[in-house]
Amino acid sequence: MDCGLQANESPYTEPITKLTFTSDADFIKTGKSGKIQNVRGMEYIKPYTVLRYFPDGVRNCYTLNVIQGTNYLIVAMFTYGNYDNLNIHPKFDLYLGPNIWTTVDLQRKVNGTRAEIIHIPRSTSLQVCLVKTGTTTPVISALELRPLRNDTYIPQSGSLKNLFRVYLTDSKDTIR
Amino acid sequence: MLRASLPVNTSDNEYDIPENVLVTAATPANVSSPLTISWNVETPNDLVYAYLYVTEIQSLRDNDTREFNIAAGPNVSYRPVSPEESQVYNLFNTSPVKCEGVTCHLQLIRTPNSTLPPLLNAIEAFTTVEFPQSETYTNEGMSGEM
Repeated sequence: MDCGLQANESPYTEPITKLTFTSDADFIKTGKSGKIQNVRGMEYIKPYTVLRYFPDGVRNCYTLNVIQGTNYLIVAMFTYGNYDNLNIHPKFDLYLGPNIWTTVDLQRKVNGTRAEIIHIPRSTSLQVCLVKTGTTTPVISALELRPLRNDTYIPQSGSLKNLFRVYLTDSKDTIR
Repeated sequence: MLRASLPVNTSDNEYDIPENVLVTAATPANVSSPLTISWNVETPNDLVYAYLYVTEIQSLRDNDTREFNIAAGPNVSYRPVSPEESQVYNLFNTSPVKCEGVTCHLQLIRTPNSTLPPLLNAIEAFTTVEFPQSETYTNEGMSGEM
């Protein structure tokens, strides 16, 4: 999902990742759309150029239909991009349902950050929630869900929050 | 840095690794030293899983052997690994590991039998998060029939 994308631009295929992005409008009823400012030297692909921000309410949730018991790769992308011209980078928490997943700190990661988790939902509905923890307004640029094979990435307990994924090379390319 | 001189076969790999990821690999700059990968976690109690992906990408001479142990701190180690051509090894711990303090060190150490240094193509690492509270099951608005 390209968060904040207008329904009339949806869907589209992003040429570099070759992923098809849809608007998030069907998955959440709150929040507003914002557009990041262009920063010289930072080239963002289209999904990260608009975002959804949540000025109201402490907790705002996406409700996703999932297959219970399936191993999913869940990736959320966050770029503030001074969409509101206030230059206040947000810091807030990300939850899966009632449980905290991670803290999103765009004050530290000023150019944006990515949160990834491998998780098996226990029901047919998965809620990804942005929770306001201070005075700043949570934002989200994109949300992706990808099923994985059930015989891979199995911890003894809990879900796998990704720290990094690298391939050893002298290239600077990102590979999907 | 090594670049493949052999074709890389990823067709059967259940971790779905792109071929472009496997055509290069790292070996230690000093061939008798271990290859060490380090990273930080948030707290010393974090439980870590690391997934290493290894495939032989050089053409070895008949009398060459590449074999190494994988160690993650004093108490955690993996049996010796000898990468093969046209096969990708997915190596990972099945029980979680705590790092010493907040820095994790993973070492690939050549065995005495090995004529070549260790090699690593790709690595990803995770910490576990527990989700103790049940997700809410909502059935508002559903009709009588499923």
